[in-house]
Amino acid sequence: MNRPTITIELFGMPRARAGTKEVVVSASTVGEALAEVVKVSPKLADVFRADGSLSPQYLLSLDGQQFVSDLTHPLRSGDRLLLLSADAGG
Amino acid sequence: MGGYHGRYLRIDLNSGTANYVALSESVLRRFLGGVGLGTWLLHHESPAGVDPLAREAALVFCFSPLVGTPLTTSAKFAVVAKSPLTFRLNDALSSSHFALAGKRSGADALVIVGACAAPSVLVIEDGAVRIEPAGELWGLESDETTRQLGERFGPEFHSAVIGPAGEHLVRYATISHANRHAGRGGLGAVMGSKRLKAVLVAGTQRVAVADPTRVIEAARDLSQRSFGPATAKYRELGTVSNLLTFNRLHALPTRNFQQGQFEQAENLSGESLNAARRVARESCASCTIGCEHIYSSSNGNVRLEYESLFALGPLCGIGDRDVVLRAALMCDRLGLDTISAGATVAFAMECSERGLLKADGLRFGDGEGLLSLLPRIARREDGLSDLLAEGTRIAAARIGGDAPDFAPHVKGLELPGYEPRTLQTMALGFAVGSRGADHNRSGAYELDFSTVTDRLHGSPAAAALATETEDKAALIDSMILCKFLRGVFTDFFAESADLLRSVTGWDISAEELRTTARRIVTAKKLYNVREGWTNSEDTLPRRFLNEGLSTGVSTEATLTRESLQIMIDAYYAARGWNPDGQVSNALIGELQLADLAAENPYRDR
Repeated sequence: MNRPTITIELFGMPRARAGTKEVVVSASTVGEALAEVVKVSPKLADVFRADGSLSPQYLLSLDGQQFVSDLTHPLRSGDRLLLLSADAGG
Repeated sequence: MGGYHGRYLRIDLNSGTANYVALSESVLRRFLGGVGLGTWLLHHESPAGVDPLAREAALVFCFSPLVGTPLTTSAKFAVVAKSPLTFRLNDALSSSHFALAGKRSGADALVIVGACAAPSVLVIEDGAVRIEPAGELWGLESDETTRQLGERFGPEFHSAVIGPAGEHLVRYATISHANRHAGRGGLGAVMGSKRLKAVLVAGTQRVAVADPTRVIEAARDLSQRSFGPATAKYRELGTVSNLLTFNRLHALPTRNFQQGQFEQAENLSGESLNAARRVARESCASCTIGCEHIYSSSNGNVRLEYESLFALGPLCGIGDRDVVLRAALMCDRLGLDTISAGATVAFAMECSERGLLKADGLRFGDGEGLLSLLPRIARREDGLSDLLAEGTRIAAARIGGDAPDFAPHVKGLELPGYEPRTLQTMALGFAVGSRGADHNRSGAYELDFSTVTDRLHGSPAAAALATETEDKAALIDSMILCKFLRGVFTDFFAESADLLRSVTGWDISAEELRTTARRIVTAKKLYNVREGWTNSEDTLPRRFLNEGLSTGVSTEATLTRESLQIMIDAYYAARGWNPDGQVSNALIGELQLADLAAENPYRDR
């Protein structure tokens, strides 16, 4: 089965580490999408905690409209997933 | 009791005299230090209803129990006074060697009242106080002042100085130590009104801690954690990395809050600045994070944070990197708060474009106009700059028409770089903040950037949660530690209790510190009530409540007066305040605030 095509936009620390603004991957869930990003940019391996959940220093937003932390959240083709540094203050 | 001298030094500039005043253990345990103790001192040392720029007004420099310990980021101090911008309590923090030397000078706080007859510097060395003439320094910029003081007094002394903006009583002038600013609310003008160009401190009086072994263990542990992932953002990119994120989320205030996205954001982004302009990374004394990123401009190197970048860039419609960096450097040297300076110029740009203000054709995107205005504002050189030196609230009232509707302030303090319509829990934080629109005393934006709330639709539940972020800020600003450490704590109140137990020897619990934090927030409120606060101040400018904001999808982000009021009501309830936001006698008793409430006109409610 073909998995949906997802664009992951990178901001802040994720962009600096990956050296790119966005990555296009095939993934059915948020967790799968992140795993694909880590394959492209191993420097982002700490996006996952040891238990497989999202590390607290990262945030994920679906199309800039809704923050998500559930890595089983399903994705549809054309979705844009934003990977951000946490801690907005400053 | 470890961690404290148990006294403050009261300096009367009228007479040139100083005396120690004892601080009881009860007061110290109830208010800790920093902004907490500073609030208590301001209640007692500044007369009710005082003009913030009158000689009777008090200016408080407050240290903390953790200053001087090896705990990372603890070299911080608070400056507290009645603000000439808001006419309410103002507390601002700064860092580094002034905190260490100030505490070693022999007191937990310095309270300065009165005024000098001529420009002077105040020198405090091991509790001995002298006032020296400083006519030759008057008019100098902050960095040059610091340099000349270093030559005159030597490396043992550390200084807090004002620039030309403080001298000319600009209502958003800063106090600067080693180019780090107690920035918000015009504390530099309070110092300028006392004709004090600088306060210098030095000393040898170290304070013992209750459990040195445990403090060293805790310091090692905290330092180790400060190297970890929770602070990586600050080390690797700094706060400037917020800009592109906020832009993507339509939360980047642009052209005086008329838009939430800026078309030149990529050019100003932290990511591109770091690639093209970063020259160094620095840190405060006693800090293991190292969040300060230094960039090159055509006028010299400058430390840049997100707030300066947003205010002098997108808020003014300016996308030229060098202009923004030069403007930030100019503000640092002149002693201008970058947020209020940028917001005031942006407001003037809109007034000019609308024909409400004659400003030599000033318009959004006018970089040369910005660079021309900043030094004129700092010295009030002409009619326009004199008007803008008053801040947006007073300027809007004088300009008239509908200018007050889009003057970007709460209680007189200009908004920082968080768009209230797309960060609606933060909108509440701005509305109810004791010092006005403020991102440092309320961390409500943390909820907007989470799965807990809907940032486009504020809710009473979010309002209740926002109080927790205020409480954490009140505690961390009173201990004092840097807020950039907050991510390393797994149980902030419990770990803070452990740190304070080790330093002070008090048998203090997380629960007690939760009450302490609530006490400090309410003590600030009581000060404001004493100075005339009513709940009509807890609101936002009309623009945010009447105009929608594009979010790039089908619907606009809107924040209505009714939805904001629902959040405010929930916030008051969560705080235990009355429905009109006043503080009941019962709560005053519960929080042990009776000594601050004697002049509370509402205490019998």
